[in-house]
Amino acid sequence: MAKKKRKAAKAKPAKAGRRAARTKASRPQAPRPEAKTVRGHHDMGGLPAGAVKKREHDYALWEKRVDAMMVLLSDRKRRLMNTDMLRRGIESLPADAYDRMSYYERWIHSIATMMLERGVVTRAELDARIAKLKRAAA
Amino acid sequence: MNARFAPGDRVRVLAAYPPGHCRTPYYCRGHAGVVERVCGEFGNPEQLAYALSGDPPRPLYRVRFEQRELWPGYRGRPLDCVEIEIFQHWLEPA
Repeated sequence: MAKKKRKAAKAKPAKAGRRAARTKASRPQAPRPEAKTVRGHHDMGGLPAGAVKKREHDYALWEKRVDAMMVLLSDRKRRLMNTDMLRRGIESLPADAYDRMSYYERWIHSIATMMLERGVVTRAELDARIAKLKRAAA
Repeated sequence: MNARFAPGDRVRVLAAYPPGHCRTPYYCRGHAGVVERVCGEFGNPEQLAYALSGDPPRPLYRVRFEQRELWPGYRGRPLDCVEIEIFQHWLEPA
């Protein structure tokens, strides 16, 4: 079974050319032959991770704002977000972005993605606001 | 929806790997444990994640797994366990 699968994977790039090569490059880890599917990158319970850093830290103002935004978007009046949507947005991050981002960076990425998806804000509005803030900070 | 399982029942987590959001950790799929308590009924997170209603609410259980059941070659004490909250549609009788 495993042997068969490997053979099929090998035959693909030769046949489909550039497109297959790109697909392969975006998937650096091949699934283990016995796995039914690839484990979600976020679903890392039980994987080797080293010691837990037991250190308290303060939250930056922007992190508190992200948290507050999540609370307000999820309240009974608005119901634009919920925990599971937040999780879906985080879980759909590519593995390298997931690793690079901090906890609240993942949150704001997910919140922005969900608000774009629901049409609450548009990409143009978001880009304009980011550009304005960048100009103000420069 | 009525709870299908009661505390003490032996259950197995489905060895299912659906795309999209779910709250069943990968490491417990296909493994057996014992229902520790019925937590109540909650909207289905697999639908709520897509801004759907999540209805009807699904029974949620706290399931106790022996660590040695989950991890091959587990070297801690034999009675070490972990409890995971799992929705009814992920469980079958074991």
